[in-house]
Amino acid sequence: MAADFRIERDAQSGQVKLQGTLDLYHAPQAGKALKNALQGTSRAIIDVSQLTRLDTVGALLLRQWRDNGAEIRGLRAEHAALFDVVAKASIEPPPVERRDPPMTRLMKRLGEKTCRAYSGSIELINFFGQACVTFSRVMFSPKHLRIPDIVHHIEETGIHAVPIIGLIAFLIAIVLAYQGVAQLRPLGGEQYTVNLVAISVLREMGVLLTAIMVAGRSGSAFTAEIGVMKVREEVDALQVIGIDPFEVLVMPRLIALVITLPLLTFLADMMGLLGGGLVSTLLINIPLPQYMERVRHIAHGHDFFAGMIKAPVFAFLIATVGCMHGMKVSGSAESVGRQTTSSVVKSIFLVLVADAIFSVLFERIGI
Amino acid sequence: MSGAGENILEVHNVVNRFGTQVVHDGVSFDVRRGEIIGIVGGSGAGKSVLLKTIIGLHKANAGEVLIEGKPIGDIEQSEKAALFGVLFQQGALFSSMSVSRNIMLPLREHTRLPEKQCAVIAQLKIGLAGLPPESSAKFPSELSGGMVKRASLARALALDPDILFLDEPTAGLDPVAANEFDRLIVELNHSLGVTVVMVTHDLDTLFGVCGRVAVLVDKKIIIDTLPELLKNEHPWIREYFHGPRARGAAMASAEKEAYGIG
Repeated sequence: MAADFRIERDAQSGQVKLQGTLDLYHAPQAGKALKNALQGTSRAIIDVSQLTRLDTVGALLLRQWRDNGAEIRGLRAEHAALFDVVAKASIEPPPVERRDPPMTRLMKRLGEKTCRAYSGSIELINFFGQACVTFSRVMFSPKHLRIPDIVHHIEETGIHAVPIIGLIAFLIAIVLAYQGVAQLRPLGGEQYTVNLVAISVLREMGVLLTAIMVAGRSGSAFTAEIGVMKVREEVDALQVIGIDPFEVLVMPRLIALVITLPLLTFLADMMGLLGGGLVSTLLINIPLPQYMERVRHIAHGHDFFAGMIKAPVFAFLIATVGCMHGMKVSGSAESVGRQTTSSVVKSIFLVLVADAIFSVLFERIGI
Repeated sequence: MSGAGENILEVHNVVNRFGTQVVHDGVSFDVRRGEIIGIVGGSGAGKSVLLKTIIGLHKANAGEVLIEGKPIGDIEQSEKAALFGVLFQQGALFSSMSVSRNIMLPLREHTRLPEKQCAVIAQLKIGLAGLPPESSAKFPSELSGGMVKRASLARALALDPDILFLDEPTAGLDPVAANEFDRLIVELNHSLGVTVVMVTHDLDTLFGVCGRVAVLVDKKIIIDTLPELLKNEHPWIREYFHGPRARGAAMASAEKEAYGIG
């Protein structure tokens, strides 16, 4: 790169002489210089015999001038092979496909998305069905139930999630209690903060937070694990060996999550109540024993069970969506990323939809 | 481009250890400008580690690698890109970009060429790598295995490097595609004057393309021309070059020479 590029113009003959290095670093400068030097010349002649170094970009520049009617003179023998290859190569970019007008594109996109959403829901329902059928088949056969796998997934999705779920429930309850105290104090009803925290944690916050955390933590892991197995053809290998991938990959995860999510929800409930207790001790002078006594009066069994009953349903949704997207992975590694994203988004969405349905239901039957 | 015969790449006493396991124990060899060198060795002999050491992705425990007389560790990033191109085993094309964008990436990063000219250069490299012109707009996921290798080769050639490192260029290609790829490498070596260092297991490539072959045995390199290596008494080398597969490849290459092709 140290070598230099020079250009000389012979005033009489109008010939332009290039010297030194013509490579991709000197090409921008050389391109401009050539344009200046050859401006208005009817018959351009470029003498390249003094060029010491030429690369494909330099050769391309010379070729482009030659294509425009210039004459290249005195090409050195050692550059001939290179120039020949470059001169023969096609450099015309392929025709760009004509794009549809914006409105058409928008409509096309909308139509595609609608169709995909429709077939996606059909797929999901199919998968739910398959999960139920497989479950009823493996339920009574320990060999097909694959207990060790289930235990492994209980550890992964349950035990390893204990610290983070406990901490988050505790912190959210504190945030909630703080807001309660701040809003209720002007009305003189700050001791009702206990009601606020106890009821909302037990009925909604505990189970929702846990479900969302688990969807982010384990739902995505399910998709990625199964997806990678799909990419590496392990799923095909299972099928060839005569093992139902659904039974070994989906069922243990599904069963494990249906077991762990209620337990995690219970943990979140307790940690949430503890967080509320901390705030009430510090801010509204209700010591912990008194706080617990009040919680017992306020929150009834059905409040607790209204929260707990949702946990296995959410677990079922998260696990099936996670596994389904894992199974939908095809081909490349990007596909794993894409499916993981949509798995998490879809499972959280479905959890919230199910929660809304539960709310309406509970209101109707009066609990 | 100074004369041939000068060393473009020198490897001096490279030692690589992983824990207590010694992979290379004093590997030394030189590559002359314009050569095509093949590196062979048994599975686990450390061919890939050696290649990574040479291109500076792995730091050796001892020894040095000089490219054009400069230690690899002292070469600037941008300079490295212009000195050598690498064809990775899986192609390593960026999947989010079209083929031409892949090739334009180093050009846009390291040169001041206008965008339009970059596109033309990309198109030229696509042609040089033997891809049909319309593949420039395609994405890596739409290409076949052989085309991925060619597109990746086009990207390796983007900055007109002096040395081309190829990691198993013909692995996973059918014999026809592999033959074409071999021919392409010889053509580029001839027309662009690029030095080629390739790790390969393809005996046809070794016999048909490589001037000299570096054999990685006993944690060291034995480098020689093929006729000399065929006479070598080392048991692994004998096994390698006198096995049934090697005989077939040698015969094919001799046939090619007899017919004046190859």
